[in-house]
Amino acid sequence: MFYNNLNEKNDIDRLIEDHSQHLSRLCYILLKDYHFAQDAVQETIYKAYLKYGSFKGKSSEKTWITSIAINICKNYARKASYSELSFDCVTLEYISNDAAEEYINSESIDLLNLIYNLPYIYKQVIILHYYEDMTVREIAKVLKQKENTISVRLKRAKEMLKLDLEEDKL
Amino acid sequence: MRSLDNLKNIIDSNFEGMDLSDIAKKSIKEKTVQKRSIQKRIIRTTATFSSVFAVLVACILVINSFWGTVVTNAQDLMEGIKPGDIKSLDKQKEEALITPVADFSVRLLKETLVSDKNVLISPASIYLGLGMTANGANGTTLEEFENVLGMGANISDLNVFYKNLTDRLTNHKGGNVTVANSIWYRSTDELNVKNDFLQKNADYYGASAYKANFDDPSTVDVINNWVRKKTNGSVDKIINEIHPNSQMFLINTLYFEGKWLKDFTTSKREGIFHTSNGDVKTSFMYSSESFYINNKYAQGFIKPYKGDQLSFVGILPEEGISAEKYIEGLTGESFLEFLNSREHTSVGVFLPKFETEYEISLNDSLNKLGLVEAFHDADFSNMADNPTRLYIENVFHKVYIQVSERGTRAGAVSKVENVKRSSPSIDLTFNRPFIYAIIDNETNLPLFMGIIQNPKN
Repeated sequence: MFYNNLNEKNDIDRLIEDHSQHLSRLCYILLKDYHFAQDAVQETIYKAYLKYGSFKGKSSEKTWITSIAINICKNYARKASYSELSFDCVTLEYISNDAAEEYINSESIDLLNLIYNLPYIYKQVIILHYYEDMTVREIAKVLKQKENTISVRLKRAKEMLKLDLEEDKL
Repeated sequence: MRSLDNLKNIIDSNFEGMDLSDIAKKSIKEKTVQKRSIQKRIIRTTATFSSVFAVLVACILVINSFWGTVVTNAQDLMEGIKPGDIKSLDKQKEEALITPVADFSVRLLKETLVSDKNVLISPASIYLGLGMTANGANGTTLEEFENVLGMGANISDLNVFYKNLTDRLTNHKGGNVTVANSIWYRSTDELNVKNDFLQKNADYYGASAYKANFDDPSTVDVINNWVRKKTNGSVDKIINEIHPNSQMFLINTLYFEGKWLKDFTTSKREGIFHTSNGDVKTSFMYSSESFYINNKYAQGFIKPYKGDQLSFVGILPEEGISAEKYIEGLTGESFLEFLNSREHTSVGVFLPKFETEYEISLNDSLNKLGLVEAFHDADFSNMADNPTRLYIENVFHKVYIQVSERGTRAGAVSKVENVKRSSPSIDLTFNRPFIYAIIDNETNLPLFMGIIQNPKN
C-alpha cells in the first residue's frame, strides 16, 4: 500500500498496528533494554509518520520503517546514558516447566541468548536477514555498506553462532 | 545442529507479549494530533518522547475565593525566606505517628476504590499536600486536618514527621525520588500571605511559593513548566486553564524511578489472568524472592529496590476473597502488621507486567474521611490576612506507575540470576486481582497503593 501523506488519524493507528510489534522485538534485541527499546520504537513510528511523504515505495513499507528503526537504535546505542549500562550478564531464561512448545524451549532460548549477546554489527545483520526478511542488498542499502561487507558479516556472525554453514544458505 | 531458519518463529513465540505499551501508543497519537493542529505553522519537528518511569504522581489542591483584582505579575514569595532550624521529634512520638499515617493511607484507598477498576493513589503525595495546607488552617478546619491526617496528632508534630520521611526518601541512593511542592497565588490587592505560613512551608516542605497573574494565559505555561521541570520532563501539562475564581494552587509532585535490587527475568511468558469479568491473556514476569508474607487472608512478597530504602509489595488475597473485600477489611494497623510478619523464605513470583495511569478528584473521599469544612466554610486565617473567603475547590490527584522487569529505563542492568522455577519452596502466581504498594522500608508506610483488577486495562 502506498501513501503520499499520512494526515488522518487512522493512518497513525495503522502504522502502530502494522509495525509496533515487530519493531518492539527488533529494538529490544538490538538494544537489550526494554525502556530504551520502547523509546526507540516510539521515535521510529513518529518519524515514519512525519516523513511518510518521502517514502517512494521502492521497498516495502516494512523495510522502509525498519531502516528508520535501525538508524534510531544506532543513535541510542551511542548515547552516553546507554553506554553507562552494563549488558555483559544479561541473558534470557527459559522459565517454564510446562511441556516444551515448538519454538519455546531451552534450545530456542540458547539460540536467542547467543544472538542477543553477539557484537552489535553481527547481531544487526542476523536480525535484519532472518527476522525482518531483508535481502543482503537491502541490508547493504540500509546500513550504507557494500553487499560484500554484509555477506562477510553474516558469515562471520554464523561462525560465532557455531551454525552449520552448509545448511543455512544466504 | 542449530538453524536460523526458524528464527522468526522463535522470536515471535518467545516475545509474543512484547509490544509498544498502550501509554506509549497513546503518546504517539497525541503527538500526531498536536502536529496536525499546528501543521500550517513553521515549527521545529524534533520528536521528544516522554520517559518511561516507575511512578509519578501529582497532587493539586485548588483553592478558590470570591476575590479577583489582579495587580501584579509573578512574584517569588519565598525570596529571602530560608529554612530555619526545626525541632526534632523524639523516637517514641515519631513511632506513634506511623500507625495514624498508615491508617490515613489505607482509609483513603478504601474511599477511592471503584468496582472492577485498577486504582492507584499516592497517600504520601496527598498527605504532604494536605499537610502544607493544614499549616494555613485554624479553628475547626485545622482540627479536621489533624483528625484526618494523624488521628488528632498535632500539625507541628506531623510537619516534622513528614519532613523526616521526605528527607529519607530524597536521600534514597538506589534511585531517583523527587518530592517537589509549590504554591501559586493569584496576585490581588487583598491577598497578603502570612510570613509565618511561608516560613513553615520553607522549614518542613521546601515549598516554592509564587504570586502570579492568573488572568494572563501564559501563567498556565509557567505553572506547567514548573511541574515539567520537577518531574524531569515527564509531565507536560498539569493544568489547562485557570478558573476565574481560583485563588491558589498547591501542587505536590512525587517522581520515583526505582531500580530493582534484583531484576525480574527478561523472558516473559504469556499466561491467563482471571478478572471478575472473564479471563485475559497477559505477560508474566518471574523472579525468585526472599521475603514472603502471609496470613489467613492473603499471601505476598516484598521486593526491594536498590538502595534498600524502598520496596515493592505484592499482596494476593486467598482464593474466594476479592481484592476489594480484602481492602475493606484492612486497617493501617493490620497493613503494618502484615508487612512486619515477613519471613525470609524463598518464594517464586509470577507477576503480570503492568502500567496504570489514574486520576481522581479526591474531594468526596476526603469529605468521607472527615475533611469537610476546608471545602466550603474554611478558616484559613493562618494562611493569609482577610482569609475568610478562601476554601479548597479541588484536590486533584494524578498517578502513573509502570512495573516492569528492570524497574526503570535508566537502571543499570544487573545480572539476571539463573533461577529455576522449581527451586523456591513457595510459588506465588498473581493471576487474579491483587493489591500492591511501594513502601518505605524503615516505617513500612505506603508511598503508593493500588489494586490491579485487570493488568491489560
